[in-house]
Amino acid sequence: MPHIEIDGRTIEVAPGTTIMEAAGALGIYIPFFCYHPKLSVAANCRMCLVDVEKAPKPLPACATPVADGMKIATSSRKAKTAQQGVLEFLLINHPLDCPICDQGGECPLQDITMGFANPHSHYTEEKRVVEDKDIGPLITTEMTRCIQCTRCVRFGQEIGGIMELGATGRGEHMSIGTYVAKAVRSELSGNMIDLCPVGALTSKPFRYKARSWELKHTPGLCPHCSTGCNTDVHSLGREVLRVLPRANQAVNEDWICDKGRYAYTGLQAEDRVTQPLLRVDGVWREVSWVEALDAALSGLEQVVTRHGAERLAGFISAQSSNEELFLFQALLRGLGSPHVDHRLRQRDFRADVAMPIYPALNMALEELEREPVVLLCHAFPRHQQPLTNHRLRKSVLQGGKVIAVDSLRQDFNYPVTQLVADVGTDATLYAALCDQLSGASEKRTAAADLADVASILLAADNPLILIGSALLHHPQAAVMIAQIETLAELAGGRVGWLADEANSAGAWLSGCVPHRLPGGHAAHTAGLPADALWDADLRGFVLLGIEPSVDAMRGAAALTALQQAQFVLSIAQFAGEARQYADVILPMAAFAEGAGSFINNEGRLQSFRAAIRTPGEVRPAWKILRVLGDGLKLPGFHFNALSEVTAAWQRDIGEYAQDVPPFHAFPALEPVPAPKLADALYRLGDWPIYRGDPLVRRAVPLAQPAMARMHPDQFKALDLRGDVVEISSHSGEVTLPLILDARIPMGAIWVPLGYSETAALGAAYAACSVRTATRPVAAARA
Amino acid sequence: MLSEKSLAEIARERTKYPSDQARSALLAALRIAQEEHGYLSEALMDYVADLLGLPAIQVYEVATFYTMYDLKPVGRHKLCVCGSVSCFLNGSDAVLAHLSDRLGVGLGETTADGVFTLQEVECLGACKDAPMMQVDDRYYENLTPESLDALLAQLRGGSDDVR
Amino acid sequence: MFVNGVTLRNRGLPDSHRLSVYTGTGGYTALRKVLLDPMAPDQIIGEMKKSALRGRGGAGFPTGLKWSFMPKGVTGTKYLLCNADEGEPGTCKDRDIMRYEPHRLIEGMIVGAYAMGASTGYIFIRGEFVEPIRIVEAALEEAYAKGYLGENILGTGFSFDLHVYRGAGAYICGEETALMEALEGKKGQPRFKPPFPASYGLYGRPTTINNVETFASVPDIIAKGGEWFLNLGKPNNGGTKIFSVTGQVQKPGNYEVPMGLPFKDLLEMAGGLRPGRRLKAVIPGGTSTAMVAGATMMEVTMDYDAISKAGSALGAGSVIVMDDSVCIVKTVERIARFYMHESCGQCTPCREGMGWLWRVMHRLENGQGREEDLQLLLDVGARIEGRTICALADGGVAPVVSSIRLFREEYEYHIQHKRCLIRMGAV
Ligand SMILES: Cc1cc2nc3c(=O)[nH]c(=O)nc-3n(C[C@H](O)[C@H](O)[C@H](O)COP(=O)(O)O)c2cc1C
Ligand code: SF4
Ligand code: FES
Repeated sequence: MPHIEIDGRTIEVAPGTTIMEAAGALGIYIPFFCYHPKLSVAANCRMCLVDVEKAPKPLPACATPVADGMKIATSSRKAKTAQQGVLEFLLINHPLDCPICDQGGECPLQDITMGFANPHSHYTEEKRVVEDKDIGPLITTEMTRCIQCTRCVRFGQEIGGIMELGATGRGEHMSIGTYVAKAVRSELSGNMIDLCPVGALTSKPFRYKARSWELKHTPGLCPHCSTGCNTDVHSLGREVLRVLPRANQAVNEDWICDKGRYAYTGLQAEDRVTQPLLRVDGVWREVSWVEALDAALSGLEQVVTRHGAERLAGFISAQSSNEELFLFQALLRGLGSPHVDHRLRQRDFRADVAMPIYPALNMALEELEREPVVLLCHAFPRHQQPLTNHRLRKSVLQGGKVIAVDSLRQDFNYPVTQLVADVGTDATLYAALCDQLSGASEKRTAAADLADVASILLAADNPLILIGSALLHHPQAAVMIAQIETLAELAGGRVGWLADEANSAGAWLSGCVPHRLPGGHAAHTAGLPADALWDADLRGFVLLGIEPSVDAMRGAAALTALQQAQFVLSIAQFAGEARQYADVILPMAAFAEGAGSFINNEGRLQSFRAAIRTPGEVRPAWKILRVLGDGLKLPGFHFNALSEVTAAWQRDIGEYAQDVPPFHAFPALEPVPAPKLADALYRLGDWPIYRGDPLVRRAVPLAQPAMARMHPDQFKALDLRGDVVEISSHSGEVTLPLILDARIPMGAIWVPLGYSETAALGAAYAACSVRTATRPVAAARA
Repeated sequence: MLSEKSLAEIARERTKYPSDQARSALLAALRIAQEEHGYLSEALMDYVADLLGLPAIQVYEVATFYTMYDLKPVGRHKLCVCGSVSCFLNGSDAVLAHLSDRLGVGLGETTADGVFTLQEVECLGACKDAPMMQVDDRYYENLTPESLDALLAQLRGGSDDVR
Repeated sequence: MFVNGVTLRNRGLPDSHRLSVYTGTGGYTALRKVLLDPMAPDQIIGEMKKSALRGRGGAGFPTGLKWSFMPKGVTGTKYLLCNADEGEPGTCKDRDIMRYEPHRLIEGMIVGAYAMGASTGYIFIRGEFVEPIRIVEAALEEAYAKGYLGENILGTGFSFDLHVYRGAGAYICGEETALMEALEGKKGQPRFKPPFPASYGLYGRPTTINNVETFASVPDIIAKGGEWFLNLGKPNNGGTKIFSVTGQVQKPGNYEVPMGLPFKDLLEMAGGLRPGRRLKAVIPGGTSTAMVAGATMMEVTMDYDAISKAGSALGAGSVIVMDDSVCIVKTVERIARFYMHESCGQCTPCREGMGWLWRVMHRLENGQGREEDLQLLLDVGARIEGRTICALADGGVAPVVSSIRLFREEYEYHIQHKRCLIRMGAV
C-alpha cells in the first residue's frame, strides 16, 4: 500500500487511488470542475493541477494515481500558478453574468473564482457566444456559460444510459448540446443540471424564480416510486421552487429522476383545493371546516345506519404516509366497513392470502448492483423505479445479466434479454418457462429463446427473480405469481417484489388491504378489494389522495360507481375529478406540505418533514382523519401530535423484517381464460412514467400527450390510415393519436392508463377494436 | 438512403474491426455516405447512426469534429488551398487571391454555377511541393497562376475525371 | 555519403511501389529471416535496441525500448498501429514512403507484429492522402496474395491481419491516443496517460504505435543488423533520417541522410537559399518545435541531441527554412492559426489559449499591437505549457515564444509602426 504525503500530511492508500481521492480522505480540498466521483475521469478542465515532487509539470489530481513515496503540494506556488492560469482561461470566454444567472450563489465557477483567481484578467479580445438550442421543457441552456467540462455528456453516456447531449465541433468551437433542436427525454435528465458546475444547464421550471441563497432547504422524501429517493426540497415562502437529490449512497446515490424532480410543478395546478367544498343542491360551495366536517360525518353515519357498514368502502393512495394509512383503515374499520384498499390498479386478488406481509425487495438496493442474474417478471423499472433500475444497469455494465418477461418489448437502457408473450399468453409463458426449467418440455424447438433463458437461470447460482407492478395489474396475476413461486424453486432462485408505489409497503403493513390488519394480522372479516366493489352497488365511499377514474384499472366503472353512490367523501389535494361525484371535498396537504414516514422497497423506514406551510385551509391528512375519527366517537383517535400517531402505528405493526418470505401458501388457482380475440385486438396498457399519481399528472413540464401504439405491420394489416385511431372496447370508445412502434406485439394495441382521455376504454388486457378515426388529428387531440 | 453499393462498402469496412466494434466503421460510413450524397444532411447522419446502432449525437460529434465532412452542400469541385507555413512561405496567399479573383468567390463560398467551392485548409502533408492544393481526391502541387488557370479550365471543361 | 539509402532507397525506380520491385531489391528478406531462420522475438527487439532507432513520429522515443514494453503472455488480441497521419506543417515524408515504398512499411509492421505478438494492425492514414491510401491498399492486397499477411504467414503458424484506416481531417489524430479514439469511431481526443497504450490501447488492449518512417526502417535493421544501422548515424541517434526541407530553399524535398549531418550540408543539398538571400531562421522539426536563428543553425548538426542543445527539437525532421524576405510575425501568426484550428478542444488551456495566442498575433500583424502584448503572449504561453493532456498545446506555444525571444525587435516594430518591417512577396 503506497504511503504518500500531501501538504506535509502522510496517508496510506490503496494502490490505484488518485491524488484527488487521497486528498479527499485527508480533507484537503483541491479545486476541480470536470471531476465527479460517479463519472469517468476526463481530466480535461485542468483545474485540479497540483505540484508533485520530481514531476516536471503540474499533474491533474483527478487522474493521477499515487505512487509510493509521492510528495504532493496542493497549494505551493507551482500549483497555485497552474490553477490560477487555468481559471483565467476558463473565464476569458465566460460571460460573467452572475447577477442574472440562476446558478449564482451555488456555482463552483463563482466560488473557485473567489477563492483562487488572479483578480485581473488580461483578456481584451472578443468573447465567444454560443448559440442555444431548445432541448425541451425541463432544462434551460445558456451555452455561452459552458466551460466544456463534459460532465453532462458523460452522465448521459455512463449513468443515464441514453446519450442525448454531446460535445460537437472542435477546439474553441466545441460546444455541448443536442446539435439539432431535440427534447432531452431521459428520465434522469435533470441530474445534468446538478452536475453542471456553471449556469449552462439550469432548471427550466425554476428559471428566474429565486436566487439560490434565498431558498429554504428541507430534507424530503420522494413520493413517486418505491425506491424512496432522498430529496432536498427548496422553497421560498409558501412555494416549493425546486426539488434536488439529497445524496444517500444506500438509496438514490447522488441522483433523482425527473418524476421526483419536477412533479412539484403540479402543485400549481388550477384545481388545487385550498378550502373545504360542499355540494349543496348540485352546486359546489366553499365552506368552513366546521360545516364541511359536519356534512362529512353525517354523510358517513347515514350510509352506515341506512345501508350498513358493508356498503361503505375506503380507498387510499399508496403515496400516503404510514400514519395516514394507519388512521384511514382505523376509520373505516371503526365504522364497521371491512373494505379498505390501496390497490386500485389491480384486477386479480386470488393470491391475496399467499402474499407476503408487504411487497419487499428482500435485499438492499445496493446489493442489486452486484446481482449476476436477474429475471424481471413484467417489470419495467426504468420507468417505474428509475433509480432502482440504475442499480440493475450497473450490474449489467459489470457483466451481470438481466432477463425480462413481459407482454411487450420494453425500452431498457442497458442490454436485456427479452421474452415477449404472444398476446394473451403471459401466464402460459411463465408455465412454459417452468417446463423448460424442469425439463418437462420435450419441444425445446418451440422457442429457442425460452431454452436460452432457462439455461441462463439454471446455470446461475441463486438468480434473483423480481416481480414487477405490471404483473400485479394483470388479470392473471395470481396464476403468474404462483408460477413464479414454482419457477423460483426450479431455478434455485430468490424472489423479490418491485413494489408498485412509494409506500405500497407501508400500505400493506398498516392494514390498508381488505384482508389484513396492521402488522399483517388477518382481518376478522375480510373485505373486498377495490376492483370487486365497483360493481357491488356500494352506497358510500371515502377516498384519500386518489382519482379513481384514472388511478383505477377500470376507471370508467369506478367513475360510474362513485357517481351512483349516495355519499362520497373525498379527501384530496385536487378537486378536478372529485367534483364529478363527491359530496364533500376536504382539502389535504400535498407534497412537501406535510410530515410522515414511508417504507421503501427495501423495507427502509424513512420520514420527512413539511417544507412549506399548507396553503389556504388545507390540513394534513392525518389531522383530518383524526378529527373525523373523533367526530364519529371512534376509540383511539385522541392524538395531539403526529409523533403520537407514529408511536401508535409502530406499536400496532410491531417489528417488521426487511427480509420477508415472498409467499405464503397458494390456494388452488384456475387460469382466467384470455379474452377471445377473433378479429379483435388485445389492448395492452399500463401507467406511463409521468401518469402514476395526481401530482405528477399535473406537472406541466413533464406532460406527454396520450397516444396509442401499434406495430407498423399491424397497422398495415388492419389497413389503417393517418395518425389518429378510434378504439372501442365493451366499456367504451376513445380517439387517440397513434404511434407506430415495433416494440408492440402483433395482435395488440397499447393504450396508456392514467389519462382521462383513455379512461372510457376500461381495463387493459381486454379485447378492443381499432379503426381509422373519422375526426381530424387536432380535434382528436383537443 | 444509401445505395446497395455504398451499403456493401460499409459492410466491408465493418469486417476490418472486431464484431462488437461497429463504431469503428463510423468515419468510413460517413465518408461513403458523403460521397454518395455530396454532403451530410441531418437525415443522412441519423440514417448512419441507425445503420451502426449508435446514438445520433455520437454521429454528429464525429461529423462536426473532422474537417473532411461537409455539413452543407458544396460545389462539384472543392478547391482546398493549403495555407500552412511551408505553402504560406511559398505564396499560398497569392494562390488564394488568384482563385478568388478568377472564380469571383470568397473563402468558403461556392460559385454561382455550383461548380467550385473555394476553401483554405491547414497542412496537407505535401510541404515540399508548395504551394499546393487538393481538388477532390487529388493533390496539385507547385502551383503557379498559369497552372491554376489551366486546371480551372480543365475542370470546367466538363472532364470531371481529372484522375 | 549514404543518401536515400534506407526508407527511400527505391524511390527512383519505376513502379517502386510494386511488390515485385520491392522483392527484387531484397524486400521481405527480413521477414523471411525472422520467421524462417527463425529469430526469437526478444532477439528482434534486441537488434532494434542496438540500432538506436528513435521514433520518427516526433518524440524520438527509442523504438526497441518501446517494443519491449508490450506485455508478454497476455491472452486476447494485441494491436500494432502505424501512425500515417502526417499533419504537422512542414512534414511530408511519410507520404513519400507510402507512395514509393509501401512494402517496406508493411514488412516493418509484420516483423514488429511478430516481435510483439500482435495479431491485428491498422495503418492510420490521414484521409486527404487518397493516393497513398490507394497505393498502400493495393500493396496490402499483394502482400496477402503472397502469404506475407493473413493466416499462417509463410507456413509458420504466425498470423497477422493488417488494414488501412482512413482519417477524416484532424491533425490531432497524429497524437497516438487520439488516433486510437478515432480508430474506435470517436472524435480524436487524446486520452490521459497513464494508462499507456502498451497496457491500455486500442479497444483497451495492449497496443504499440509507431510512425511510418520508423516501421520502414525496420526491414534493413533486421536484414543488416542493428549495429549496421547504428553506425550509419551516431550513438544514441542511429541510422539515417528523412529531412523534409521546405520553405525558402531552391530544391525543397525529402533528403534521407545520416544522423548528425551538419545543417549547412543539408541546406546545400536542398539547393541552398535563393540568390542574394540570407538565412534568417529555421524551424528544425516541424512547427511544434522552437524556431532557431539562422546563424545558430549553421553551426548545428542534424540529430536529436544537437538540435535539442540548440534549444529546439528534431521532431519529425521537418526543416522549415526562412530567409530574410520573411516577416516573422506574419509567419508565426499563420502557425498560431494552425494550432487554434487543430486543438481538439478538451483541455481548457489549449481550447482557450490557442485562440487567445492567435488573436493577439493577428492584432499585432494587423498593426493593432500594444506595448503589453509581447509580455502577454509570453504569459499566456507560460500558462498553457505543460498543463494539458497532450503535447499539441506545447507545440503551439513553442513557435510564438521562441520567435519573440529571437526576433523581439521585429515584433516591436509591428507594434510601434503598425505595420510590417518586411513586405512579403507573391507567388
Ligand atoms: C499533436 C501531435 C501530433 C502528432 N502527429 C503525429 C503524426 O502525424 N505522425 C506521427 O507519426 N506521430 C505524430 N505524433 C507523435 C505520436 O504521438 C507518437 O509519438 C508517434 O506516433 C510514435 O511513433 P514513433 O515512436 O515511431 O515516433 C504526434 C504527437 C502529437 C502530440
Ligand atoms: S492539449 Fe489541446 S489538443 Fe491536446 S488533448 Fe488537450 S485540448 Fe486536445
Ligand atoms: S478535475 Fe481534474 S482535470 Fe478537471
